[in-house]
Amino acid sequence: MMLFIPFFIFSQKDTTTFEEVTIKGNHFKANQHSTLSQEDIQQLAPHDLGTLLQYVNGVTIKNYGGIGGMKTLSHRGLGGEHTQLVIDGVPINDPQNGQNNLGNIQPNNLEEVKVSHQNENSLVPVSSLIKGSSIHLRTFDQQFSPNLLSVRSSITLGSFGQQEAFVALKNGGQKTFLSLTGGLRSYKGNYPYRLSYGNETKEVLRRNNALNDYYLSIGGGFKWHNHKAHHVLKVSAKTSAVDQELPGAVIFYNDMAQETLKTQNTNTGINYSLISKNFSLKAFGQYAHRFLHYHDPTFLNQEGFIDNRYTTNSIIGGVHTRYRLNNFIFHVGNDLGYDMLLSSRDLGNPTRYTNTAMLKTKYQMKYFSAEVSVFAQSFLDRNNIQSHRNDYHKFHPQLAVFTSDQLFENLQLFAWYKPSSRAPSFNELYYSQVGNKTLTPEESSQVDVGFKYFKKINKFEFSVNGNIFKNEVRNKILALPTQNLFVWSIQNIGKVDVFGSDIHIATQYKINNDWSINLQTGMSYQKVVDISNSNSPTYKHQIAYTPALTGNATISANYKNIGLHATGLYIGERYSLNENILSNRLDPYMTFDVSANYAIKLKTKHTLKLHAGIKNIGNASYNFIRYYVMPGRNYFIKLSYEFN
Amino acid sequence: MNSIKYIIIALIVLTSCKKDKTEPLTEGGYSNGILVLNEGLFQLNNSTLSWVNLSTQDVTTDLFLSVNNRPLGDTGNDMLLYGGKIYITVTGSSTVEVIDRNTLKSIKQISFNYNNQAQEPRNVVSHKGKVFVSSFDGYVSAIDTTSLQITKRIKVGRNPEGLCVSNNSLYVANSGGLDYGNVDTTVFEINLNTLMVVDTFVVGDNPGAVIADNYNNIYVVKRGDHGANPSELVRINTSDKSVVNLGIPATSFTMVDNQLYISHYNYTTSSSSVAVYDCASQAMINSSFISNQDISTLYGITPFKSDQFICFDAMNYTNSGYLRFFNLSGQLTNSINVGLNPNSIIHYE
Repeated sequence: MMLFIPFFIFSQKDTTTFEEVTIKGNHFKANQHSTLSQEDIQQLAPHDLGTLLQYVNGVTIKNYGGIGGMKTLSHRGLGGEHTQLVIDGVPINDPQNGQNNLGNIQPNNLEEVKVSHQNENSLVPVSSLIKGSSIHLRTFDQQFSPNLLSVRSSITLGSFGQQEAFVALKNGGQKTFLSLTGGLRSYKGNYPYRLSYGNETKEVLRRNNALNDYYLSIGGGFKWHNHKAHHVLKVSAKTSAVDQELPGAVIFYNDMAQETLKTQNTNTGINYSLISKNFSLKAFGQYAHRFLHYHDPTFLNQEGFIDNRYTTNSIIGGVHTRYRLNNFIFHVGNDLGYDMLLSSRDLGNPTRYTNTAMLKTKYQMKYFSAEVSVFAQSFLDRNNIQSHRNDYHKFHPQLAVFTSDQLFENLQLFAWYKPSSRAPSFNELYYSQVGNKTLTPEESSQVDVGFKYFKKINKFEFSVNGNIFKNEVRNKILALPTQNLFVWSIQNIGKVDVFGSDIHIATQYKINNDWSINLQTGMSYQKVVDISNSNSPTYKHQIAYTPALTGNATISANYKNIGLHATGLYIGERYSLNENILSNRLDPYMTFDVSANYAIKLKTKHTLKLHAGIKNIGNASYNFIRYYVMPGRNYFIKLSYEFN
Repeated sequence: MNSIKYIIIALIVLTSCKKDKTEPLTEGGYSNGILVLNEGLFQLNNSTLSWVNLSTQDVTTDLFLSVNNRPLGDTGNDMLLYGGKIYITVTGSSTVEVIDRNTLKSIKQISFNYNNQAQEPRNVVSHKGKVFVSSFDGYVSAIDTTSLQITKRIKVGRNPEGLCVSNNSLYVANSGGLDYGNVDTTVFEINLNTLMVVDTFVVGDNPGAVIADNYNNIYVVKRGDHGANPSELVRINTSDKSVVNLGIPATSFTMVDNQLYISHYNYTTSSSSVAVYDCASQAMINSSFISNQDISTLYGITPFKSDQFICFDAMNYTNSGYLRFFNLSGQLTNSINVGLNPNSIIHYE
């Protein structure tokens, strides 16, 4: 189903260092995150956020094509709706689709990406804490800088007509910043792919796959302090537009798709933080406007085309406070959101209030810390085409236990339990014929036991992180054909059992002042099986498009100003339908990317960087989703200029 | 997933129409078996042919691919044997595959593209050296079975589906199913000499399958709106031009000796039923021919040999389907697992 595009908001992060010093004390430094740093992001040179997140352990990206192709996320067997995207501290939602198209979030201004599974002390929106997991993005646009002027800019050229330009300017100072960021992307997308016809292989060009987009953002911030309290205020306004062709799945003998999709997102937000020794508070507010225009000029209805327009307006605001008393840390928070959808289709005029309230207590002992929290989730839906809809209220307790450095040096053990609900999206509820107004929220629960180990010996750093998890999804919302093959409907019938584990190893070896080597590798195994109905042919079969085994590895070597990088990604076998039979099976695949960069210090603080690489160097012919073909070997070159 | 286009579509039932009699077998590689067309699912290019060996009960899958070294394509909706050739309408791929009955080798792949737009062929029927194919773009195409060229495109109603021949007329059900909320309601009569539309019958919302008896009647499934307006059997009398809704729940049917075997799948209750209706007396003979327990998702019925019926079991449309064999008393005698969404067979003696 089509997804829409979110866009960037604002936030705070520069105070985090301060928070961590204040809060963590002698407790273990490692957070429950998988983090990609700015360096990691630059080395991977991803087209978009979806491509980037493939390198985060436990995240499966459902990939519907190259640049511009829809990318959605599944984390530890839970659908993308169970993951909250947070950009610069503000949650980004798409109430119409329930999840964001990660293919339309460009990565040029990203400074950090982290995937968080578990509750933490930082003052993030509580709506991201209730979700199964959350992705936090930090952008250049919303960070304070002591420099009068900072510049980030780049030009990228790549295969299949990829052209990108990006420029970000920031005026910083001791108390304020003002940023202006803009970017353009253009892509022809006419990549060749191989179709295997029995014993024969045919090379075909992908068509109707072009994309043009732009975005623009302005941000500003002001900070001050008095009486041991720091105050930070940030504002932002952003707009973006994506104009793309939709190639769809490759259909044999019928390469005539002409569908197009236009999206426009505009939003504006404000974010305030107060941080003092014992009491901290963060509040945010955001208004988001999304417009989507789908057009199919060849549809065989009376008019001869489909032309649908959708407008979503969302307002969200929240407060999260933290109070420290001796060995206790108390958190209280609440997020309230309102969404409404208008469209040219007969979806009615759906609205929703979403409220998430949280009470949390953390108790720190010498060897352990324990967290107990209670969340209350409410979804209040209304639509003029539905006379009555039950409100949904649910309490979810969460528990977590961690060991401290005092118990094991360099090793942390932890365990947590986390239940959550996700509301059906407006499309799932109301989309004509397909939608089902009687849907109830899908409920998940996660149990995780894991460890982190960190060791530094002279110039050698080594960290390992491992987890075993047992998840469950009840009332899973599934689209199924009902009356016949063509009339699908969304139903609350599924139950899914997830059992798996993942391990991630990172090492860094700084040989001398000139040489350093980084190596990281991760593997994830997940058994995600359908346990809806023991009489079904798919009982205990792995659910569709959920590879049991995935893995990735990245190695980079740096010598002075030169960096060499290689990455590999493995996606195990998966099935296009829930029935695990040969005709539904998709082969595993592996892709490798290599790249090199060279940095020139022009003058003090001026850096010119050249980065060139080859993606899918083995020219693997692959698709994650059946017949959504992916590009073969392709090239890119990126020239960046940075000041400060 | 990008199938918004298709999700919207409100239609399609297996159409079993009055086709020219199954021809006697000639010598060939395929005998004593059943050729099955599996429709597959939209956008998965997984429409296939299966071969059921009746002596061993073995099933060979993906036969079209292994014989022709290329796949059949996306959504094979109907299959007809005529003049030693098999015609398969492949809706998603927008092709009609013409294959040799004995070797299953492709003789011609007829592209159903018009002005670079997919026409989406749906059903096929034969008459006097021609086959007629309905396509979603609102046409019935006449194909010469010797040259395999489209000789005429006849403009009909919206999104035509079921076809049948009776008394030198071709009847076409215009579904209009791609206009949800504003479907078509008509059956057109085309004179087979002039290939002109000569009459129109209003039968109710979203007509699908059509079939003729020997008493100048045409039976139509009007599928309604899948809600308050149910899927029912409508009778057109071609002599006095009357149209009567018989009020019998129906999704598809087959005709044997002027007895109409009407299959119905009620998706609300997930129950499958077959009713037997006598066309001579216009009376219901048996309203529950088979037991609901024997079938998961009834997708159509077809006669097999002289004393059996095969019901297509679509297994919720997403799991590999079954041929369910029933005897004349409606008892299940055999089940054979075939491909995804089986919808038509050809019996090789």
